[in-house]
Amino acid sequence: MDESALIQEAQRGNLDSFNTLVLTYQDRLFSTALRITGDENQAADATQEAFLSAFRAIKSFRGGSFKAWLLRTVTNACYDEMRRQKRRPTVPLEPETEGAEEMRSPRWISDTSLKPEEEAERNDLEDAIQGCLDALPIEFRTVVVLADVQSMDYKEVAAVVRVPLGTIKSRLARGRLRLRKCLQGFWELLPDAYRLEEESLST
Amino acid sequence: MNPSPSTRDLEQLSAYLDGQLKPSESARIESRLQMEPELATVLKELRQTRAILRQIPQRRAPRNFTLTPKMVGSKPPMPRTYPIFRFASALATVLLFVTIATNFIVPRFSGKAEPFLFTRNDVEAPAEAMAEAESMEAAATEAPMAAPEAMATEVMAEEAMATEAMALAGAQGQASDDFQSAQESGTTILPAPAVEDSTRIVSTPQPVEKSLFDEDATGQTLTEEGVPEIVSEDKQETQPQPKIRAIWQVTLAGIAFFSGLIALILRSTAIRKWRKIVK
Repeated sequence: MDESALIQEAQRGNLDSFNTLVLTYQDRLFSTALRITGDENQAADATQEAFLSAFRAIKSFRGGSFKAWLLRTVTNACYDEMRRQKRRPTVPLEPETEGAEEMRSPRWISDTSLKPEEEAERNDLEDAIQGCLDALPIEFRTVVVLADVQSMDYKEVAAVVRVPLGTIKSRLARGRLRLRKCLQGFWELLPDAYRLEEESLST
Repeated sequence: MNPSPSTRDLEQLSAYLDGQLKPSESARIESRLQMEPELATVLKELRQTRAILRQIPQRRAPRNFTLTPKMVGSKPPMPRTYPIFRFASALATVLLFVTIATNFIVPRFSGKAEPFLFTRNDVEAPAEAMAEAESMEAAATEAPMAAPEAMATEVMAEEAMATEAMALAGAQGQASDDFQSAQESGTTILPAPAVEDSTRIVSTPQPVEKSLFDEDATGQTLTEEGVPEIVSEDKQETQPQPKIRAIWQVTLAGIAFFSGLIALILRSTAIRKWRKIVK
């Protein structure tokens, strides 16, 4: 069954059809929520809330990009979750090692195809990028995540964030510039290809 | 050294990187990039930044975010026939009460009104009774004497009934004067009937003697042929005819009960199935 048929079934209240859509988009939505919130628990909560809201409001979906519609829902859920977290901060239930140091990469997200060193490097780079994303204002961060991390075009991003196209261009340009400056602090973590290119530019 | 282009240049470069500029704008930027190395440096930095961001791994969802009926708070899906049976049960119940009210409450109200009419007619309107008696007398004189032989035998009984009627009127303490005047004029005043009970007063043209006391001691009316005719009042009070037959009430009660029972079974079955799914 194709996506439009699943959407129509879900609009009639068919939960199984909607759950098929959930399985299709849950990785993308969770990943987006994770880059926006910077916290796995908040991202999971926001993703779940987004799917719940999407099911309740799916009758209002009037065609267009279902992916963009879902991403708008998860973006709003992230904003709500972050506001709620700011009002009532909670202790995250992260799995911890013996030394009370948080285990940064739980088993369920580890990529078994990578060597341990490569995985460690990748995790360090991910932390660095996430740290720089977290330092961005939320409106810049959302646009950068949607355009660069999720590889969406400007119109889709504008549809998700609901701001004019010119605002998207401006926020993306400034967000990229700030990230560039931020990432210079984690220079040694960048992959060799980028580092060599940067060194050749500076000389 | 970090070049610091203007905000507009930065936006143009970023959009150029993503291929979001119009052809004319792209051509203009390309010509500037050849002449201004600072802009080219910024463009390269933006391209690197974008490439790094695209390197960030897509994280898989830590668990499935599929929804359950419990999470969405949906009600158990009811069979399509459920509302039909529920509505039928409710409607039959309402109609059943309406029929009960029609059969029991309405006659009681009308029964209470009867003494009031009697008192009013008897006490407040003696003139009307007199006028009626006179008109009856006039009609009787005009009417042919159909059975003079029978009348002779009836006179005795009529006299006896006249005394009974007088005693009854005296016991009631009402309308004695009216009765006297009526007796003098050869007519009698019977208890005022209910509005619908027009059979109590024989208003058809009859001989005077026949119209006076045409009820015997058993409350029967003697017709011209001498056949006793049952007076309607006593019969109506003892055996009131129901407006709606009992068969309809039984039918409605059956529909209400069985429709309700079927609706209840359908509902409980749907809830039981739904709970299995939710668990």
